Amino acid sequence: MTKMNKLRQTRNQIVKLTFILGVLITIILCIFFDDKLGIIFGTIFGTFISILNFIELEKTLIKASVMKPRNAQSYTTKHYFLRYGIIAIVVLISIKANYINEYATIIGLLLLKFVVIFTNLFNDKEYFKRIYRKEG
Amino acid sequence: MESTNFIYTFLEWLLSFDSRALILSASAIGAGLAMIAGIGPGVGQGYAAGKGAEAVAKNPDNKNNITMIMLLGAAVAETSGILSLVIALIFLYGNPLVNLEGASLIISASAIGAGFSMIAGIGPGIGQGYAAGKATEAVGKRPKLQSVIIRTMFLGQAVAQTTGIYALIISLVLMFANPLIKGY
Repeated sequence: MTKMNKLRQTRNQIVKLTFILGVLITIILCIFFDDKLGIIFGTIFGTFISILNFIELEKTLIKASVMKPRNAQSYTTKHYFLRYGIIAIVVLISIKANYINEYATIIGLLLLKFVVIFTNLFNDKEYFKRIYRKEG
Repeated sequence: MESTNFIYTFLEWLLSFDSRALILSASAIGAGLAMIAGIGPGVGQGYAAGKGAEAVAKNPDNKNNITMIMLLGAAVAETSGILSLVIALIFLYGNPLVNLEGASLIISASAIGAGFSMIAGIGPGIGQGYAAGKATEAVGKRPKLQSVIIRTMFLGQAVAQTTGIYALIISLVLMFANPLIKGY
């Protein structure tokens, strides 16, 4: 596995898990709530936008990593506000459109963050054992 | 004596307006205040990217691993920005305070307070970006310890997020289950 593939593999794994979790969450929400179509549209909309934002973030950081530190800071901040604007438009559309459930969209937008944290934080029991192991 | 008391005069002036107009104005201020939290992730991600660029300059062979850590850290750092945006948009398009009955001054103050509380999102945004930047720097220096560094970074970021979530809870309580209005 080449070095470039490792970065791509991590991205693909996160995207895949987010998609799977998105489907699971949609099914769970549809079982408990009445607005089934709105929930399906909302989670799909939110999940896809969060995945696209993640890919955009990857491209931004790959470009920023070869810049001078000061330029990289301003470039990344500019792109952050671009993504922020996209999220604002997405939430706005889901609030305005009656056929999209806005809460499902917000859940979809935040799913990727949970996937990133949980796949990287809870994948090694030994790490936590070391933290809680008593000294001496 | 009363006429010289600025606060008393100001409150009287505020209450001279229609209560709905007062609540809507306060909601507009609240939405604007909530959006201030969007600064945090911007600063944090910028810092992480700066540190990433530094690390790549020092250790160009490890560029992909450094970028990967930066990507994961920066993705998490965005969360508090999204939460503040959601609160601001609820204020603008799904405001639950408009239909409330009770003292308009308390409802208006709650709207401003809900926006104010979201400013706390600056902290996690900057903090998580800082953690991502330092982790990126550390991977550049010690590539063999990458898995331990990445896990430590996420542990720190998850803990740093809690204050942002507290702020969100207070904001949502002020909007949807305000105990101050019930108690009045």
